[in-house]
Amino acid sequence: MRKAIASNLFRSIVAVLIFAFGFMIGKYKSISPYYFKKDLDLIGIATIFFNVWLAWYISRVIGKRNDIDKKDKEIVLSRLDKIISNYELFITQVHSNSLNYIDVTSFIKRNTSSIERLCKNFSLYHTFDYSNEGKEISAEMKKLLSLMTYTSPNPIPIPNFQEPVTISQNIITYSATRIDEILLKIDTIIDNVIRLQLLINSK
Amino acid sequence: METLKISKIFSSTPGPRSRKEGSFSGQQFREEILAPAIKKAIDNNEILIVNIDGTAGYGPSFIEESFGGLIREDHIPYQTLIAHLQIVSIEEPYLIDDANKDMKDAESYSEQLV
Repeated sequence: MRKAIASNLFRSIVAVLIFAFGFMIGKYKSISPYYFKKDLDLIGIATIFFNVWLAWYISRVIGKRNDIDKKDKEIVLSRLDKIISNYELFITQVHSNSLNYIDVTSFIKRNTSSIERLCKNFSLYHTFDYSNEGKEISAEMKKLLSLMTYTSPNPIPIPNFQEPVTISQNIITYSATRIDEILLKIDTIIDNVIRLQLLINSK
Repeated sequence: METLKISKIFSSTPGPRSRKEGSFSGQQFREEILAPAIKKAIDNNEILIVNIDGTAGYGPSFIEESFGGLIREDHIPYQTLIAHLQIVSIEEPYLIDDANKDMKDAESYSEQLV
């Protein structure tokens, strides 16, 4: 509210200053090497009106484009916020060390598709191409999927060795080292999403 | 030319690698559906299309066990397999590359054993 009042006040002051400037200039008959012609023909009037209309039209088009860009950015940034909060919530589930296999695969597929689609679609309507950033983040997500679900086709039983990923009845448990690796990968993903947010915000 | 859509014919929530790890595993899919279908396609000199779209998501072990397992466990030669198998996906096209790599790796692994 206070911002709107300040903005209106500023505009009014600028309008008054322009008017005062015009009034002062009108007092002069000439400012060497130029002179003021006080009579105006029909073409001159038409030119003035056309120029004013053109200036208004261009500012309106640019203003509208800026409004659309701003709204698009807000939508994309809020979707990226959602992905970050999904992963932050996921960290607490990883700490529980008892995850359902289907929950992990579906969570990562949803977020991978979401980030790729988001970057691809946003790039379609903007001059900067974000699809590479999207692909980099989704590649990290796929690495996370491997870390969280991959089991060897030929496990070799070694005494006193805990497999990094153990699955029984679709419930996954991890070794302590693997949990650290998973948490590190999630941090990398969150950092990359934040970097993308900053990049989008700066354009 | 037969088409298998995993989400319809098997499960929309594919599971882990082996039966002992959980339900709707890659091993179950390969043993019950994929291996018989590809063997039939090879016998009839046809191409089997496997559509992997429409699921909640795959773990890499499921893909490896299903496709790599055809070479490792069912002993189908790599060249025969790629001549009769086509994997399609719009949702997750990178999985096609993963499956192809898994089949190649399984072939290398089998050659090492011989």
